[in-house]
Amino acid sequence: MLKITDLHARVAGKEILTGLDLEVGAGEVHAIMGPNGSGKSTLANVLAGRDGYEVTAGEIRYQGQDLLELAPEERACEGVFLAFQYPVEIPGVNNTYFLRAALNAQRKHRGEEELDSVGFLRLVREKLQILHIGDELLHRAVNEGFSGGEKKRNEIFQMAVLEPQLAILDETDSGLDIDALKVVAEGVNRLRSPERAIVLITHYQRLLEYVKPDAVHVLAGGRIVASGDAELALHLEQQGYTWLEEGGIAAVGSAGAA
Amino acid sequence: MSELAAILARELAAPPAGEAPHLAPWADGLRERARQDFSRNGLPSTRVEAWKYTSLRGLERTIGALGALPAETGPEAPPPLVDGPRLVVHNGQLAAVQGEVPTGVTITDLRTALANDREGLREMLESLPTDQPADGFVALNSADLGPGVLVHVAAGTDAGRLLLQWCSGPSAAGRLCNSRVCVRLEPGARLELIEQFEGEGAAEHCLNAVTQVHLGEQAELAHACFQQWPRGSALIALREIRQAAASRYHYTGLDAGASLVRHDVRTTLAGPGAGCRLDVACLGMARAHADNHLQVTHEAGDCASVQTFRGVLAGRARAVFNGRVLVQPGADGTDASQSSAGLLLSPHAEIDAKPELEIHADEVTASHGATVGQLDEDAIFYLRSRGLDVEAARQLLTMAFCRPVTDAMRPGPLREALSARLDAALQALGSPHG
Ligand SMILES: Nc1ncnc2c1ncn2[C@@H]1O[C@H](COP(=O)(O)OP(=O)(O)OP(=O)(O)O)[C@@H](O)[C@H]1O
Ligand SMILES: [Mg+2]
Repeated sequence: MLKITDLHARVAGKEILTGLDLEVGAGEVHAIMGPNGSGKSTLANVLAGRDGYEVTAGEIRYQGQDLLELAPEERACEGVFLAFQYPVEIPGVNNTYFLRAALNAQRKHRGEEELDSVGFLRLVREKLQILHIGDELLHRAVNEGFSGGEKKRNEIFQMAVLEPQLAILDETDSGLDIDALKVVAEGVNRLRSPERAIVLITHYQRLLEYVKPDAVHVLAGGRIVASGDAELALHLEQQGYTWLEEGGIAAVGSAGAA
Repeated sequence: MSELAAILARELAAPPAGEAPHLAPWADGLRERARQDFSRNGLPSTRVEAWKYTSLRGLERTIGALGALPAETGPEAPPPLVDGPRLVVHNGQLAAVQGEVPTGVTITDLRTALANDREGLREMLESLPTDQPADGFVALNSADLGPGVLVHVAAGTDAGRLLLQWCSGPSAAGRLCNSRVCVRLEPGARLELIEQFEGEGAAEHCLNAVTQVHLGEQAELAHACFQQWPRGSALIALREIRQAAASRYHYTGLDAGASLVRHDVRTTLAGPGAGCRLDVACLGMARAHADNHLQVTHEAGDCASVQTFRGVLAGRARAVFNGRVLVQPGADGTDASQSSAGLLLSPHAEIDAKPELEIHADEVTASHGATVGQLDEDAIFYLRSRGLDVEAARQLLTMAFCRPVTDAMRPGPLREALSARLDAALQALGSPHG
């Protein structure tokens, strides 16, 4: 599904990703943890194709294609979805209108018929119900004036409607109350399927109690420095990253640093 | 005085034989005074403060005569913006009244009305000054008083909607047409007045339109204008509104065409509890120039006013926004707000926004905010990351930028029609060939 090889990327003239390798197979859920400023969001932004994130070396293959060749909207249409760490507020653009436009752009790309407003509304209702979220956010402008938690819910709601092949959630679980956390977990678990892949960037073990990852990676200094199973996340939460630097990784018996 | 002004002044002094209208003596007097004012001041140059950003050089190249033309039947009026009764004005002259005008509403050709003094017309017309250098176009209009229309709505009448379609025939090419619209709403009357400046007609022509509105106590006028004339044409429009106590005036202006546009909207809140809203969206491309001067004078206390300006400029277009709020002594309890925002889609586009707040009363709440910028790159990326292409993302954001102007309108067919026109115009503006 996704294969990243020796990825180097710069932001504002500074090298942030320094030779990152990561492989995520179809049907898998991977968690990426790591200290603040280690490059997790940078990786997410590179995957989504944001301007200003310059890839200087390495390769990203996504479903057999060179992902870096695609424009952000082409990636989205090919099934890549990024839940933003900081979702953008867009005053004046209605949330529902925007999402329908996005979904129809993707359907058009795939050669499917566009959904009319009735069909779209039916889909929206269904997703809201599954995720146990109210419809009050639908009528407002995209993220405008949303609380931190509401923004995260909105990201998950978009993900549920767009049904991506590869979902990258950048700290979608941060700053959430317990109900909202369950919404995120529900969203991820519903999306989970043999043909989809999910990457969870997180600082906490909490989400991983609801969503059991197939693999956990530690990103530090712009590279994946350790990989393991769900146990690794538990150890990190208890011991912190210093434990890792002191060679704690051996104790987990992981596949080892990349 | 410019060459154009000199030509126009000469024409005013010697009207073509057989065309002198039979007017009441007071109307002749008014015309003559205005003619003298115009001969003295001519058209405003950029040395006049209120015209400092708007040069008439382009106009001087295209216009060479007055358009004292008969109404033409030639070109069809454009498809009406909304359903309902409509007035078709050709080359400034009332050409047709179509559809059923509701009871309580009287439509009179201005020339007919000028033969006597209908519904306080004289007082209204004489109240408009023509003697200052900034008043050049008003003087020109008053000196040529005759073409136009008088709309009167009787007290307590809900007159519904009235559409005014401005059309120009081929014979207007190279000419400047004057027209005067007088609207009087008696106490408690209500009207939705829509002006539509659309259609092919003569490209290189200029309409100099003056609209005067008197609102009686508790009267309500929703006034919307949509302008999308072809490149090369010019519109100079002055709206002068006087509001009695507890009356409401809501102006929604939308400009998406012509090469030269000048709007003056001046409201005087003369009775306590009156309120007005002046909302303008201005779209410019190529070398279009649009100058919007909004002015609210708070004469009485406890009145509220809102001004909103949104300018979207592409190519080498330029927009001017001058929003003035004048709170006179005694107008205590005034609430005035203003917001202006400009969006520049090209590095060569330009916007000049200038708020002017002048407050001489107590307990006044006044606020204003002005921004000029480009589309938010983060927002564009967010939309693209969901599958919208760059073009669609930019369009969505541009439409959202202008939304406050149409959102302030009462929901209904007019708002929908205007929103649709706005979106279509923005689409044309945003497209690479726009
Ligand atoms: N646009 C930018 N301009 C300058 N520096 C940037 C920019 N974006 C990221 N950086 C820098 O790159 C480094 C990595 O940032 P990144 O956001 O990827 O960290 P992160 O791992 O997501 O951290 P956190 O856990 O705090 O979200 C940081 O030092 C950050 O300051
Ligand atoms: Mg981050």
